[in-house]
Amino acid sequence: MSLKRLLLAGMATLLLSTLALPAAASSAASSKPTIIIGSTNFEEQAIVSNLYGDVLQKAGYSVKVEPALGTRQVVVPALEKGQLDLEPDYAGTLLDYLNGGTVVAAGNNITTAVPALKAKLAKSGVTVLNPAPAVDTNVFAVTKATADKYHLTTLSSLKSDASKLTLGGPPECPQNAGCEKGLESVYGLKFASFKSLDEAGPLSVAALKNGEVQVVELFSSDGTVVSNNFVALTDNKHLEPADHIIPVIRTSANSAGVAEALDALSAKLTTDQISKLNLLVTGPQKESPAAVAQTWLKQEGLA
Amino acid sequence: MLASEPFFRWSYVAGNWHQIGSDLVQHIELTLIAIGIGLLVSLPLSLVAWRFRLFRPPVFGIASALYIIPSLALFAILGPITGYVASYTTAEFALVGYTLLILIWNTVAGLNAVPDDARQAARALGYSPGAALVKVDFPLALPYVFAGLRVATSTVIGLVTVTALIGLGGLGQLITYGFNAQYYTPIIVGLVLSVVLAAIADLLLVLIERLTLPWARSERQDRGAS
Amino acid sequence: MHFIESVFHWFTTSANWTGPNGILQLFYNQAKLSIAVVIGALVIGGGLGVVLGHTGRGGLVAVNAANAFRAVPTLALLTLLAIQPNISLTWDGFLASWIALLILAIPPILTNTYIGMRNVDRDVRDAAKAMGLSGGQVLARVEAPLALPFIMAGVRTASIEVVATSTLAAYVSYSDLGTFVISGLNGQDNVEAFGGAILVAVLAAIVAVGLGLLQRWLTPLPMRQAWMRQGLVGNVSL
Repeated sequence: MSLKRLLLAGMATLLLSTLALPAAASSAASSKPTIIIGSTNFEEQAIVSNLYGDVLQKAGYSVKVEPALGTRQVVVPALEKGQLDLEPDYAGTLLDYLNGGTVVAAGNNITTAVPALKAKLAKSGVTVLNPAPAVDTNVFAVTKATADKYHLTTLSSLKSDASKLTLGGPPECPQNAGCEKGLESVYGLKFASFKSLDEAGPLSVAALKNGEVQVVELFSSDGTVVSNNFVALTDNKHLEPADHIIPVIRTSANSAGVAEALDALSAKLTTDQISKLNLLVTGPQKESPAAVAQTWLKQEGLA
Repeated sequence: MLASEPFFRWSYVAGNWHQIGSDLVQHIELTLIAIGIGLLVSLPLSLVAWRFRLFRPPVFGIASALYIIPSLALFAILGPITGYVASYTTAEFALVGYTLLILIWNTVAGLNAVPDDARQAARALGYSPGAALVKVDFPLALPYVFAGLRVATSTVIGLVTVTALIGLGGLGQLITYGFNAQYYTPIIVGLVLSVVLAAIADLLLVLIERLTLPWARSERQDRGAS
Repeated sequence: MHFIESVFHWFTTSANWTGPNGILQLFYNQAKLSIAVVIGALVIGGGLGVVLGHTGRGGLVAVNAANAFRAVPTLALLTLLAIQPNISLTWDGFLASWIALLILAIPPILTNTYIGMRNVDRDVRDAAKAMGLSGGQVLARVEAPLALPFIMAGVRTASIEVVATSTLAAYVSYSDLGTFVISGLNGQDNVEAFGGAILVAVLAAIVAVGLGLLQRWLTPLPMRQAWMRQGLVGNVSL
């Protein structure tokens, strides 16, 4: 009996101590307040949140970079509720998200998207800083052979032949205004069929290569279009939102020093640069997002 | 690009053992808390459900419902209340929910298996029904409770990974990182450590059972129960 | 209130039921995958359990190993297969999902089959041998039928787990009811995600109740009564 009681008591103390741990860790004192940075579960987000963390640390702030936190449905509410201070996001898509997932015209241009975001976020005590030139948006890619065969350069040029082609993309693509739904309403494209793959991941690349699909959704900043010699079709009617990488921050954490450090970083972050960093993580080098961020900041004289 | 990726790179383990270690520790923490709370909740519920038939349908119904609710949905409901970011409370709601059905089911089965002779002997010795339940029936049901505990522990160790969706996940962090970076090694490390952890936990539970319940040993060998 | 109305509307819109991405087709896909997984697990896990239980050698080791294998995160297996396009694109993701879920389904079936086999009364086994039955005949005519209720309990547990977990198959591009959940979550359509979750829960409940009845029906009455006395209510599976 006493052994059992001992076991139970041990288990209870373990339980209490582990419950108390996270609270104790986050209350570490420091002269400037700790800035908690969150990101979604996606390698580019891990890189950018490390970039944010490193430049802020250099500016003298104590920083906590949370590991990948699932989806935007976790990260944005956490920011609005004050459980996070800062997250990297994509201007146009974030604006659509804040409007319940419906497309907002202001999101198609970065100059209108930023004030619209500020207005939308103000009531939860959140704002955005300057966007980076880097854009990560959906692109629709075809193989070089398909492009030559049907003379494809822009999405409009797909119009006459789309009915012979299969489109590949993530499961939500058929209902997504930035994917099949938008391709139909904005460009009048009706594909022969749709094949559910992944979010611009290895399946999408493989399915395009082996001909299971002829058109596939990829991302403008992940480097796969270039590294596989695919042709990205120009979005000549601006179907895709202006998805510039943008810091989203709680106003309480947004001091002049923080804004200055992040603005200096964003100014140097171009689509080419982030594509290269992404390829270092997903390509054969397999460097960690944190290491990639650190090396690049040193090269750019930011850390 | 993928074709050239080796199945396993030891350099990853060498360069990241610190991260792997802290993920493993978090995995153990999340598992221990889930099993601890699961036991604290399930044991009284099992005793009540067994003693009073009226409570069986609601107890089993709720436990079954918690067993099949997808964790994703649970996180969406609980996030605004208990927190999204690395919230142990939110994570444990999902994990404990999984243990309850397994633990209650086994405890009740164990209580059912108590021989009538033992029960009548307790009565003859003057135990009240309540005292007999705690001092006679329950200890005799413990081998079943341990069987449930073993299954629940292994299952939870496998499930902890889903809490990566809210920034925890223990070894699940390695798995999501591997998926995003198209990198086999961290996924394999996460998978292998999960199984090793479960094997060690199972061994420990068997050991604890033998130390605390010496009388159950011969019986178990007869039955070969697991 | 508005949300519940929207979910109701989602279920009553006929366009959501038909077509290659409609409820009916995806329900069929999920049922097809789940059945194929459980059959595979029954052949491998059940077969192994019968052999180990019959010979009585190495059984405890196998059962303990099976218990540790419950800790294999299905997500890890799926993601390993997902970044291997040769496998994950085979039969629209069916093969990869089948392999990953098979690992999930084998342990409960193996464990229960083994327990069921060992649970057969020694006297019954000896009597059968005394009547001149060969080892194979004892296995096929005596042990296996007596172990059947236990095997069914394992099949039931495995089936529920498989149905609930196969929602993850959408990760390797296999379309089933999980596609509603994942596409709803990614596409910010909570109604679709919730509708998908309900459909999965309903399918899991149907499987649980249906296989529970089958298990009862396959258990001879005297055995059921003996179990009630012993307390083995047929739920040793969990």
